[in-house]
Amino acid sequence: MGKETGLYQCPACSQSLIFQSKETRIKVCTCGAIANRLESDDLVKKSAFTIGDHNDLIQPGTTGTYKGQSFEVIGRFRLWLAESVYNYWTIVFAGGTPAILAEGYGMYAILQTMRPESNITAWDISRLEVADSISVTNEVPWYLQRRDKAWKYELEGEVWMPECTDQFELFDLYARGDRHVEAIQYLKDYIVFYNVDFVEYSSLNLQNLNTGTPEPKQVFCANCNTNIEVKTFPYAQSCSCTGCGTRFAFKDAGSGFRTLKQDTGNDNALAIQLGSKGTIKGIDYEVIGYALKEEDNAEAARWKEYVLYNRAEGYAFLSEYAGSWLYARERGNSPVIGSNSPDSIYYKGAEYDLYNRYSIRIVDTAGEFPYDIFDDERKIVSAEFIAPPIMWIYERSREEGINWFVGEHLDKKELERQFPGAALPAQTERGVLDPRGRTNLPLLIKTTFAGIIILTLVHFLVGFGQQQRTVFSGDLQLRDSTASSTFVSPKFTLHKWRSNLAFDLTSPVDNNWIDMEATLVNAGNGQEYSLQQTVEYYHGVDDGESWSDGDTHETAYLSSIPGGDYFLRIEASRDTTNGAWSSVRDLAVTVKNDVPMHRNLFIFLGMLLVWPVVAYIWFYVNERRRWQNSPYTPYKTTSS
Amino acid sequence: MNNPFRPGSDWYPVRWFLVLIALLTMSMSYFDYTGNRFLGYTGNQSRNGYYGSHYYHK
Repeated sequence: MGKETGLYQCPACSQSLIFQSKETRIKVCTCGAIANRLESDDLVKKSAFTIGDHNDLIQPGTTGTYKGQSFEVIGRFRLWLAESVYNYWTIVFAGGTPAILAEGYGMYAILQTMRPESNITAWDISRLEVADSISVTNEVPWYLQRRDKAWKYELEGEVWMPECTDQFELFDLYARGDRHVEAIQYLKDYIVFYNVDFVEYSSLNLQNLNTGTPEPKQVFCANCNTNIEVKTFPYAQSCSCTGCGTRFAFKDAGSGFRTLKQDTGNDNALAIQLGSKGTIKGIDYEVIGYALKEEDNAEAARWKEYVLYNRAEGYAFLSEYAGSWLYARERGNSPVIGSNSPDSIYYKGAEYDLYNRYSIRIVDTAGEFPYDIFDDERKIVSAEFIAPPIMWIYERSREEGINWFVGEHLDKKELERQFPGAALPAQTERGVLDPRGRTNLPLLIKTTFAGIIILTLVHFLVGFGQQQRTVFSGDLQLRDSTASSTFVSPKFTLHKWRSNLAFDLTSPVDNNWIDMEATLVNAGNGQEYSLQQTVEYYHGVDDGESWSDGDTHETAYLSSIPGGDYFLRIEASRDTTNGAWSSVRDLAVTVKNDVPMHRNLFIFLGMLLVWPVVAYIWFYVNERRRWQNSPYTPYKTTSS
Repeated sequence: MNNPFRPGSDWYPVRWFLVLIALLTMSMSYFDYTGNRFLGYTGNQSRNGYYGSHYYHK
């Protein structure tokens, strides 16, 4: 008998008891007695509650993996907190090291003991208020986010748990970067610190789960003589009679569900009926609860909330306001706040802006709810922080602290597909998280600059390969007495499949003009391409101010000319209104083939910029609409 | 690996903008290469109206 072999005798019934781990202290015998292994290696009887129901998915014998290490569940202690119930499963890794798999409400976390870098006493912790900071590790501040009191604990199987008082306190300390520590004050002067690593259910690869059907808790409504089935007890801590609207909450340390007042309204106007089943984000849910909530302020905005449940993934919430839907789940990995009323929060590099802060009134209910949603005494303040399509919501109670929920927009059509029998209301307002019109502005700006750079580079790369070959150059002179003259160029060849011709014209015009009409003639097939360009320059003084218009130099283009042999016929005409003798007579013409046209670049850049300009206007209009119901809108309008 | 252009991602709203940039780049390089003057005078046309400016200054 002893730690080496793990073999003991039950102090109550003398049956053999086998401890799987040397580190564990408690074992519940099949006779119902609880054996407590002392430091001296003796087993003594311990007085505590044992778990009678076995409705949980996880059970002793369940196996799983964490960071590549396999583990087995060997027992648990279950904590009854003020309005919730959490399981602390004892798991043993292959090497015999024990740890805790904390589980409840769809959140899973692996707890392993740790030692704070600074010496923190039970008194240091117990005097903290929510959002106060304390030094757990030296490099970052840690903030108290929750404090709970376990008014009862229950045992099952083999349990890794130190000596404790019947009731004890738990403190959740969070640091930014998803770092969590839970401190459990098992005895007045004995506190154990655990590193908490929140994990997804799917990552644990749990096997040998309890596939039995959970037994619902029956709550009798004396008002209308009906039985209410609470499917998810003990995690559901409140419920409501669908028939008469009488409310019930699990209260006062195990005295059962207590009858509260009735709903102020009992129209049960559910768009999705209780018992409906559908899949959201790959999780199969059943609708188990409904609440019509109202902001506890002058606005008294109302919205409907549906409670969803999946045995493995826990609870989720579908919230509907003005026909827009939001899907939310409680999360352990969450933002951390170090003040009571922040205007914005940061999480994983993103900033979330405060959209609303309010307390709620419950108007109408049906079904069951995690926690006690009827508890007005908790004075819960909710705050919503948005960076569409994501919202972080915190619910803060004065005594217990903060619960974080992450919400995301849910498309109505997708919801209709998943709940075909639902009568979803039409959307009448832009949803808070509606992604339409939403653009990441820094990314839009970066993409626009990238587009400008790409277009410019490509344009100059193409220009770099162009021939820019002079095919004709001549100084055309008009005779003194003529208004126009015609010149014909020697034959030249355009080698490229298609290319342009640039006509550079220079003439010493001075308050007059000279005009060129050029015809490019294909020597092979007679195809003609004509072009007309005037060189004009005027200047003078009007009302004491000098002015000028035009230039002595012009450039004109013939575009996309097929390759072949060509010659040019150029007719030059001049302004003879002041007499041919005094008019300009020289026109220098240089014709280059295959030259870059920078105008193309500017036009295409202009077309490129249309998108970001329109996207920004669309973004601005939509953001104004999104924030119109928020008292914290950054789009303030000045009132007259 | 997650599709960076999935709905809800930062790249989702700019996905068609990226396509537009690609189309504009290809179109512009075609116009540049063939010496085509986009949205401009491409020959075989007569330019009108030059007399107007002359009379204006008289």
